[in-house]
Amino acid sequence: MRRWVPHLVTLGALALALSPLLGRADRQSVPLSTYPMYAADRGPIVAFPTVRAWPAGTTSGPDRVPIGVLGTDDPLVAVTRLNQAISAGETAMASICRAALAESGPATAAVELVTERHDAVARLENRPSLVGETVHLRCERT
Amino acid sequence: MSALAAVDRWLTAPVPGRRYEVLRLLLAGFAAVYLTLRLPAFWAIGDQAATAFEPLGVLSVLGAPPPGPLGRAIPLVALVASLAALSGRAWRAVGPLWAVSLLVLATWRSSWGQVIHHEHLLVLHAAVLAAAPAGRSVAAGALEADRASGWHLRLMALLTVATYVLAGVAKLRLGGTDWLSGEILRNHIASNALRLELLGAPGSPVAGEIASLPLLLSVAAPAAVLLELATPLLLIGGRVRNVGAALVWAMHVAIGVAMWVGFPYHVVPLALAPFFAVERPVDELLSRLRR
Repeated sequence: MRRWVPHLVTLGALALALSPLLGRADRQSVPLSTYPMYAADRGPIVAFPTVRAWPAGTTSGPDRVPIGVLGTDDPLVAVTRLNQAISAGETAMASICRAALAESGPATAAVELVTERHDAVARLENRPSLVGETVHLRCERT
Repeated sequence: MSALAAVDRWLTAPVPGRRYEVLRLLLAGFAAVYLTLRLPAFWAIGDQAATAFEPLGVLSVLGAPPPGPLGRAIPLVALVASLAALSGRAWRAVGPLWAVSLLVLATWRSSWGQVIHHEHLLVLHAAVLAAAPAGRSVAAGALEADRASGWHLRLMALLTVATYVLAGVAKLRLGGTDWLSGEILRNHIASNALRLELLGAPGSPVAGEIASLPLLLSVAAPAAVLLELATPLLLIGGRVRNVGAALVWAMHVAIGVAMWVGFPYHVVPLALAPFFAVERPVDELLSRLRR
């Protein structure tokens, strides 16, 4: 192999890997990226979608339906899927609602697809944290 | 000696041919295990609505996601290619096929609205290793001579460094000095814990304790950024590399414990493997097993 080939390839590959520095700081792609995970400040107030299951005949609060119902065990993917379903509208949300009702068993009277807004730091410190919520869809067991 | 000559000497300094072979075994073995364990999750990705598909990178040309069976074939092909890479046979054909299959898989997976960054470095490393003398027959030939040019290894190490530096720079560009104060890190730990709770998933048992220690966070946050930006020092080798690599690994473990997120390739820690004489512990283990 010619002596300059390793140098040229190394220089080119390194330049390519570092090229995202020239673009927007939050630019993400594969396999080149700025790696912006956990870099931006989201503040303590954050909103996440959640699937709540209300037990029948009790006055206790709702349970959280585990993310397995969304066909993933990755929380980031689960949030993305819930947000996509909320954006897509009632048909997509109803599909999740049905799956969650089936998953929850007969003790569950209703399932809700909700976006909850919390003070995450307060939550971690066991202080009241709920700032607001939007119920997108509620499915009753018939 | 001029700077250019020093760079040339560092980049092309020979390494034991066996090192490439062991790296292939480690990386392809990791990919095979990772894909086997995650296969159901990978298959479920393609079940989403087509509207959720936002193609990235090499898939940017696609207007729609690959149809169901093809989508399911992508992780399967990557798994078969990883097993073939593990065998080391016909490396000149299998190596590039393996690298391309990982690239397509990682790109396809991240094209559904959530970029999975921890797979990037494996893809980059596989691409370089595919062009290296890492196959069974090639490595055996290199083993006879016992030396192979080390520039592929150095490039893999440089790519590891590049990803860490980019991550450090991103924190400064997006978070600024607030990131260094520890406040943003605390918010992310809290936000992660909340997300997991709302999703009915298990979370870190110590997130609350860590987030309630501002002094710890005010030290850990700038230390993490400094460590990421200082990873080029790992290239010096010797004790600096050993201490630096241990700190980088500890950082990933700490992130895992505090935020309950896993970077498997980094925690194992294969991300740092190109910096080390990986053939030594492996050969030692093999000779012990033979006894």
